[in-house]
This record gives sequence, structure tokens and C-alpha cells, in this order.
Amino acid sequence: MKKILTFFKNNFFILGIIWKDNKSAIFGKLSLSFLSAVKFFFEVYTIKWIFDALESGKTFDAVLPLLILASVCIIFPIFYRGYYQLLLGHLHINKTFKSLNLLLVEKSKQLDLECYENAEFFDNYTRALADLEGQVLNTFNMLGWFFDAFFNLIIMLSLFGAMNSGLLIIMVLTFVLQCGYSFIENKLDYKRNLAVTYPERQINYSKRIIYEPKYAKEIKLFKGLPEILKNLYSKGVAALIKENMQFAKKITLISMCYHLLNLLLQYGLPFMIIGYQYFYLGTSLGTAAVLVNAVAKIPSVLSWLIWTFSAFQRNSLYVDNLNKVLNCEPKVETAEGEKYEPKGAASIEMKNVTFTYRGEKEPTLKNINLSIKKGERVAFVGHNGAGKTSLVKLITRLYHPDSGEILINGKDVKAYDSDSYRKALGLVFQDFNLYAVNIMENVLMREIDNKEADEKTVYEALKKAGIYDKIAALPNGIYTDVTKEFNSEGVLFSGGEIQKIALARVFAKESDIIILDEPSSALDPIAEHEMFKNMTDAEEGKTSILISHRLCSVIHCDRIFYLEHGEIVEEGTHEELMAKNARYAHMFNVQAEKYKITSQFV
Amino acid sequence: MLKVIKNNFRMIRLVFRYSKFYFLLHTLYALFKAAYTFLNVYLIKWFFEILESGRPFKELIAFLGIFVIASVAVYSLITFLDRFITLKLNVKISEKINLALIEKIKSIDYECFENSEFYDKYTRALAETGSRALEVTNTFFELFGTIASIAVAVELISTIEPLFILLALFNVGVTFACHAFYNKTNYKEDLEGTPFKRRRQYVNRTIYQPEYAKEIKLFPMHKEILKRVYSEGVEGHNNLIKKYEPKKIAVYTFQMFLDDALRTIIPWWYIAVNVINKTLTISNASVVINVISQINANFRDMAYILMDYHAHSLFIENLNVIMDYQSKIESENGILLSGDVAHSIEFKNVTFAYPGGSEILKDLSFKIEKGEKVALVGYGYNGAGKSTIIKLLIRLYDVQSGEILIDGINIKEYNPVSLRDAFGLIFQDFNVYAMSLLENVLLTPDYSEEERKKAYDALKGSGLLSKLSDGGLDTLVTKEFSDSGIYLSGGENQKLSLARVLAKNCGIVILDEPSSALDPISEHEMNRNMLRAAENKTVLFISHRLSSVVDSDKILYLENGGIKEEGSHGVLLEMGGKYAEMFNLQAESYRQNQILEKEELLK
Repeated sequence: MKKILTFFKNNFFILGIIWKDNKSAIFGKLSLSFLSAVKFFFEVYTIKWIFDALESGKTFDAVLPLLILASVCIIFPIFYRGYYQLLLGHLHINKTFKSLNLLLVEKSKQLDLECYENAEFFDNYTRALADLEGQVLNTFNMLGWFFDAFFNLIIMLSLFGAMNSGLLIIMVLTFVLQCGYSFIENKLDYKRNLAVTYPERQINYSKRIIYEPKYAKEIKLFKGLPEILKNLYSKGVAALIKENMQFAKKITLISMCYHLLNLLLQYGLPFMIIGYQYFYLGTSLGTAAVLVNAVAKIPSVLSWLIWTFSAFQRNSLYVDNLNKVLNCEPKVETAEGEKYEPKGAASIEMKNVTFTYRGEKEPTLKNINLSIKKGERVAFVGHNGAGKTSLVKLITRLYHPDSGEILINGKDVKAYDSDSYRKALGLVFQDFNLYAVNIMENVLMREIDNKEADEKTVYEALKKAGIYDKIAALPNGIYTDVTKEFNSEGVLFSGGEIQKIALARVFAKESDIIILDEPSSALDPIAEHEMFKNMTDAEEGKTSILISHRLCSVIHCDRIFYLEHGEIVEEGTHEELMAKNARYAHMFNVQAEKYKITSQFV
Repeated sequence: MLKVIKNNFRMIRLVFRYSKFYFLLHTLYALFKAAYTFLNVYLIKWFFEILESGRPFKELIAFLGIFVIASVAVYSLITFLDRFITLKLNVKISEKINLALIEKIKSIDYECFENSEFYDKYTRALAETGSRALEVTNTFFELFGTIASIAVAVELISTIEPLFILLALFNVGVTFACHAFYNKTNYKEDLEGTPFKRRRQYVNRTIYQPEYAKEIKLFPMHKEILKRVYSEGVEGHNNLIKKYEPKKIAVYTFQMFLDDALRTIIPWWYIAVNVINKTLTISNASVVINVISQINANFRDMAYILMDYHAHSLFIENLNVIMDYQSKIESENGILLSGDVAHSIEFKNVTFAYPGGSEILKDLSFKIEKGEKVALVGYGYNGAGKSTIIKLLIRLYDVQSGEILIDGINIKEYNPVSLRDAFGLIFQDFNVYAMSLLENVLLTPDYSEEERKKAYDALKGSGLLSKLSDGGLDTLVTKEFSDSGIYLSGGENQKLSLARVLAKNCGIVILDEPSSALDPISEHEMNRNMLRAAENKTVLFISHRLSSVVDSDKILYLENGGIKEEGSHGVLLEMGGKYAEMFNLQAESYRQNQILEKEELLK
């Protein structure tokens, strides 16, 4: 019972989305189906009237009005359908798509970052979003087909009810047979599908490798690789055929029985009943004709109905999935809270902070205590996986700690609303993306509101990031589109250039805290040198955090935190840590070794 | 037209070659299917004849009984054949085609994979070759089935009113013309709509791909830009709909009108007039109604089949491009290059540009002696030259002018497969495969016990041994095929490619240092392991960080596609050129620190 309830609830959910924006679309579908029902009615009945006229000895004139009416009723819906289907249908659905996607953009902003790292949730999420437009369109069309099938069913039921109730029984039996057979077939097919998932994956995997260009180099380099792929493919095929044949063995006998019964119900019994009625009950030939006509349509109307139901069923499963996504309550990304007031710089304090990624057993950060004063410049260093980036993710409020608290300007970061807080952050991460909009928007990361002032800001920022010359040389300057996604005149940037544009984002923005996570990994030594010089200006008076593996860049920081296995193990200025001659010093020396002044220079 | 036939026949021949049995079964299937349609059409005619002629009810029952039995027999055979064909033969045939394609891919030049036009055709052809080959054959047999059905229908209707055949032909002609119009309009609409479609898809993708997730949150106002992009897409589409749809509606409506008029309304009027005038029996009237639908449907099927042939042909064109591809580089002939000993490498006045691009290498010359360890450095836009040198060396591309010599012989003289086999490459962007760790190292389908041992040692040498869980060497990599599979991190990935080199006989090792951020200690370790792999071998070391090239025998400093500076680290520093400038810049801060330290020590 609960299942049925969800079934309806889920399907009405999607219909509700359409209904909200354009009620006329739903009414349109209904009216179309009504008109096609009228057409169906005449298709079945007209022949009866003609044959009856013959039997009762009427003249052609007597059937003429009916014939004209029938002709008109067939023709009229064509025009209406053409108008509706092609013009309104497309525009309507576009409107729905638009409001849906705008909603999703909002939603994706509210989704906690944690959700993206949960494989199962993320799987659902991508599937739900990737299919959303298709599913909505599908439901919309299915609604029409359902109405069609429903109206046709009613006409047939009333027809049989009025003329030959024996055929009603045939209809019910056909329905039971069809349901039963598709149930069994689905079950067997489901079992087969389950069994062939693995071999099909093998087949698809080997196919994927031969057509993705990233593998092309290796296929040339390793002569054994194509052979491995062939073996894998053939192994998959052998298993697939084995499963298929097992399925075929089971289904063949069942489907033979089904066809026997079906043919009996479709032709044998109905024709016998109609014949009997004609021979013994004295009905007209016209009646026989209309019944023969109608009987021929039983299977298609029924299977249509069953098909729409099962399609709605699949839809319902999809909506379940979608709901999981839409109903995911954000724990971190909440809009409530105090507005963050920018002050030019901010103090950061962490008290006994412990943090574990979902699904991990070991905490990534253990009992972190640190305090960064207003305007202080600090660096986080350590091995890969020591927890530096995680620390930054907590400070930027992408996650909340399991325990302990993070204070920004003395107040728990949770107390601020996330948007206003993040507006006060200047960030460069090593995996930052550029977007397929123009350079100006890529730097501002917001819509342009004052063209002149914004242009000036962007020019300044690009200059400081060391990429102004390259961009100014482009024909469209800062209005050049990034990537060729929408514009063949768009520009593709190299790794180093992307990093510089991302840096410009920091320069283009007034922020209290600047966080740079490996900002120079793709830059050459000269550009790196320039960048750090400019960065020092930008950081003037602001609180800043730098993560870098090139330890020469952290030397000048006010304080360095050395992290290991999620804990801060050393803390102090470069000189202090070098004097301590422990972990930081070791790391520094390994790197510096190669630059050691060789004897010829001493 | 000729091309369409030729293309389709090429495909049918291919299938025929793979399975003659398939052809036999398919012929049977088509025949039975036509017979089944035939049974349906006659049933209704005979039924009304019995009713009209006043023969006894018994006869009707006998007739129906025979009919059902005959139908069941025919239909069972149809389903049996259908299942056998789709579940077994189809899979078999598409296997053979795909295996042939995998074989073919070896002889396609690498260049093609970087050429988006060729690559587009290639993926499209590959993605559906298996299924498409079968569709072509299906269409072929469908054509026979449809012709058979039309013959029966024509025979039935021609005794009653031959005019209906002409009407049906007229109908199909109009349908065809209308479809042509649609396709043309849709094509234009699609073409004009692509920019808008891209916008919509882009936003949709941005929302759900995890790499964008962080930014959407961290830049709160960024979402407004995304919304704008999406809205632009929808607006654009709506304008296109308003521009093209009215025309399409007019044609569509006309076509549907004609179709209904010819298939339903005209037969009604014909029957009404003739039945009432007693010039048409009821059984024949039923024939008219059923057969007219049937014949129209058949003609339409024919039209679709012809259109299908056309579509198939376009697809086969793509496939032809691949199947008929003549490689410029790949060949089975040539001198074999041994992987057991070190070789010398020489670039002589090499100039190279990618197809359609500007020159990346200009008159490049350098020589690497047997067993020498050489580092290649260079920054900026010309950094791309470094990976190009590798691609030329392993003949993924050929030079435009100049020559590359290995042991004094032009590399074009060597067998390309054996040439590449003599190289060991360590890249960061190398792929791992969803196979066992052992297979990932050896990359060969069958291996001896000795090779197994070698792979083990290689894993040990690369520092990846700790990754072996209970499964040992047979531990699966990635979770593609098993939940117990392991994932490799970026650094481990690189260790794997190191293990591949260690397990292989190669005379030349190319090390492409990772550009991503490894922490200093892991980086140090990696470099040490890499150099161990290169003992007694000729080594070309591509570096992004100057600190790691200090120890090489020779450094080649690349700028603007040519060698700008050449010599050992000491020599280059002394020269005080570009290399020295870069090195000093990087070393500055470290050095300052060392001076301080030294001062402290002196105290």
C-alpha cells in the first residue's frame, strides 16, 4: 500500500513541477487525448453504420450526414495536434527546464561539499541531475500516452458492454495474460541483466580503452595491451552468451505458451463469440464488423496501458533518487546566521579541532590548536596528505569539525552565514577551474555591475598576477571568452596561465583572509618569483595562509606550521624551526641540497 | 545512390563473412514474418465470407482452430529465431567486428587521435560498429519481408479496386517529401541550436561535476553567471522554435491530413457508396479497410528502410575512413631494435609542427651518447617542445625535415613496434588499467613464471610493494570489476609506470618528471628510484624543476624550439646564461639560508 502511495506521490511530483509553471501544458495534453479518443470512436463505429444501412436497406443519403460528421471529426484533431505538439509543446517544456535548472544551480550551492565526497550519494546525484530534463520530458509525454490509452479503454469497455459482454471477459483475460507474461519476462530479464552486468562491463571497458584518446599513446607503446583487451573482450562475450542462452532456454517455452493463449484470446475466441452471436442471436453484420474492428485493437490498448504504468513505475524510482538529493538537508551550507562584517583583516583561532571525512576511520585532523593574529602571514607545510588542505577547507567553512571550534574574529565560524563570510575570503587552490565565460567574469566571479570600475579592477588584478600583457594582446582583451566551448574564438590557456588568472581573482577582491594553496605549482621560476613579490603587496595588512611545497617561498612568513598525520608538530618562524633542526629543517635541507653552493662558488 | 548501395553491401559482406549461418536463419526469420502478416490479412476476409455465405457455425470453429494452430506454429518459430539471433549470433558477430577493430587500431597513426575531426569519426564509428553492422543486415532482410507483404496486399486489393494502390503510392511519395523537408529543417535548426544546447549542457554539467563544487560555494555570486548562461541557452532555443516550427507545423499538418484522408476517409466513402449499391461484398469491404492500412504501412516501411540505408551509409562512411586508413608510420617491416643494450640518440636539424599548427621545433640538433644521462629543460610556451621531442623519438609523429638517428640509423628504418618496445617511459599521465597489478606492470596477456618474478622485483624496486594486499600480485587495480580492487594515488600511479620500466628490457629510458605538487621528500625518493631504473641505460630526463637536473651528464636548455644552451650544470652556471638565471632565482632563498647556516657554523 505504501509502495502504491509513493508511486503516485512521486509521479505527481514531476507533474507538479510542470503544473507549477505551465498549467496550459497539462490541459493541452488532456485535450489532445480527448480529441484522439473521438477519432478512435469514429474509426470503430463508422463501418458499423455503413453495414447496418445496407442490411436495413437504407439509401446512401441516410448515412451521408454521419459520414460527413465522422470525416470532420477525424480531420479536426490533426490541425489541433499540429499546432499544439510542435509549437506549444516545445516552448512549454523549455520553460519548465529553465526554472528547473535555475533551481538546481541554487541547490548545488547549498549542497554540502561532503556530499560530493560520498560516493553513493554522489552517484545518485549525478544520475539524478544528468537525467532530469529527459525524465521530465518523458513524464510529460507519458501523461499524454496514458490519457490516450485511458480514453480508448473506456470507449472499448462501453462498446463491448453494449454489444457483447462476452468480449469483456476476453478483455479481462487478455489483461491478466499480458500482465502475467510481462511480469515473468521482466523477472527473467532482470535476472539476466544482473548476470550480464559483469561481462558487459568487461566488453565496454575494452571498447572504451580503444576509443579514448588518452589511452592511444600506451596502445602504441605496449604491444601486449591490445592483446589483453581482445582477451578481455572475448571473455566478456563468452560469459554474456552463456547467460543469454540460459535466459533463452527458460523464456522460449514460456513464450510459446503465452503465444498460444494470446492467439486464442486475440483471434480464436473473439471471432467465435462474434460468429456465435451472428449465427444464433441474430445480430447484424455491422455489429460483427465493429466488434472485429474493436477486438483487433484490444492487445495494443492493453499493452499500451501496461507500458505506461511500468514507465511511471520506473519514473517513480527515479524520483526517489531525485528526492534523496533534493531533500538532503545541508548541515554546513546554511543561509541563517549573522552577517560577516569585513574589517580588512581577521583573526583565526582553532581550539581542539578534530575532523574526520565521512567514511574514513581515522581522523584527518587531530586536536588542532592554533591562533593566527589579524594581519599575520602564516604557512602550512608538510607531506602530501598531512592535512594542510583539510585545514583550509575547515577555515573556508566547507566542512564543520567533529569537535572543537573555529573562531573568526573571536566568533564561531558556524555563526556566520556562509555567503557573507566567503565574500571576505580571497582564495587560490591548485585545482581551481576557469569557466566558459569571458576573462573579466572569470576574474570577478560575479556579474559585472559597474562596467568602468570593474574593468579597472580587473586590469589591475591581471597586471599583478603577471598575465596582463598576454590578455591585452588578445583582440577582445578581457572580454575574450575562455575555452572554445561556446565561441570558436575563445582562448585555451595553459596550466600556468590558468593559475595566474585564478590569482587575479584574489587581487580583484577586497578580502580579510587570503588563502593560497599551492598557487605556483605550474609557474616557471621567473613567474613564481614575480608572483610572490606581488602577493606580498596584496597581503599587506591582511591575514594570509600559504600552502606550498617549495619551502623557499615560505621562509618569509611570520609563522610556519609543520603538519604531520593531521597534527601540528612544529610551529615557529623559519629561523626558529631551522635552529630546532627537526622535521621542517630536514625537509628544507632535502630540497635545498641541490641548490647548495658548489665549491667553485665558495 | 551508388555509394549508399556500395557502403551497405560492404557491411553485409562483412557480416556474411563472419557468419553464414546467421544469414540462413535471418532469411527464415524474414520469410516467416511475412507469412504471419499474410495470415492476419486473410483471417478477416475468410471470417466475413463464412458469415456472409451462411455456412454453418461448425465450419467457422474448424476454420478458427486451424488458424490458431497455424499461427502458433509460425509465431513460435519467429520468436525462437528472433531470440537465437539477438541473444547469440548478434553478440558473436559484434565480437568479431570489434576484435578486428582493436587489431586495426594498432595501425592507426597517433596523429589521428589528436585530430578532432578524425577522432570524432573514429569514436562514432567505434561506439556503434557492432550494433550497426547488425542493423544493416536487419534492414536488408526487412526489405525482403516488406516486399513480400506488399505483394500479398497488392494481390488482395487489385481485384477489388486497383486505384487504392496508386493512392497508397501517392501517400508514401508525399510522406517521403515531407520527411525530407523535416530532416533538412531539423538539421538547420540543430546546427543553429548547437551554441544554445552547449550552454545548457555546460551549466548542467557544472552543477554536478565535483571539481566545480568548491567554487560554486566559495564564490557566492558566481551562480548568477551560470544562471545567465543557462537562460541565454533557453532564450536562443525559444527563438529558433518560433522561427522554424510554424513551417514544420504547416508541413506536418498537411501530411497528416493527407494520410488520414487517404487511409481512412476515402475508403469509408468508397465503401459506403459501393456497399449500399451492392457492388461490394462485406468481406471485401473488410479487406479494403484492413489492407489499405496494411499497404500504406508497408509502403511507409519501405520509405523508412530506404532512409535507413541512407543513414547506415553515412555511418559506414565513418567506418570506411578507419578501415581504409593507410598509416604513414606504422609498418610491420624494418630493422629490429634491441632492448637489451643502451643506444645513442641524435637529432639532426629537426623541424616539426603539428598538423595545422606553427613550428614547435626549429632546426633542432643534439646528440646523446650511449649510456649518457641527459636532462632537457625549458620553460614558458616552448615547454611544449619537450614532450614533442619524446613523441618524435618514439615515432608517434614523424619529423617534417631533418632526421632522428638511433645508433646512427634513421629511426624510420626501424620496425616501429620494436622501436617503441626498446623504450622505457615514465610519465605521470600514464593510465592504470582495470586488471591485476601484475598485468598492469607487464602489460602482456600471457607471462611466464620468470616474468612474474620480474614484475615482483619491479614492484619492489618502485616502492609499490606495500600496496600488495592479500591478493598479492593478482590484486585488482580500480574497483571497475571488483569491490576489493585498489585505487592508486597520483604518486603511486607514477611508481607503477616506474615498475613497468623496471620489468621491461629497454635500452633508452625517458623520465618525464611530474609537474604536480609532490612534497619534497617524496619527490626526492622518486627521483632516486627513477635513476636506479636507468642504470647502464641511455636516459633522457625531462624536468620541470631545476633542482633535480643538477646531477645529469648534460643539460639541454630548450627555448623557442631550439637548443639554446648545452653543457653540464657547472658549465652552464659558469656561462651565466638563461639557465643560470633561472637556477639562481630558485636557489636564492635556499642559498641565503645556507650562508646563514655556514656563518653560524663558523661562529
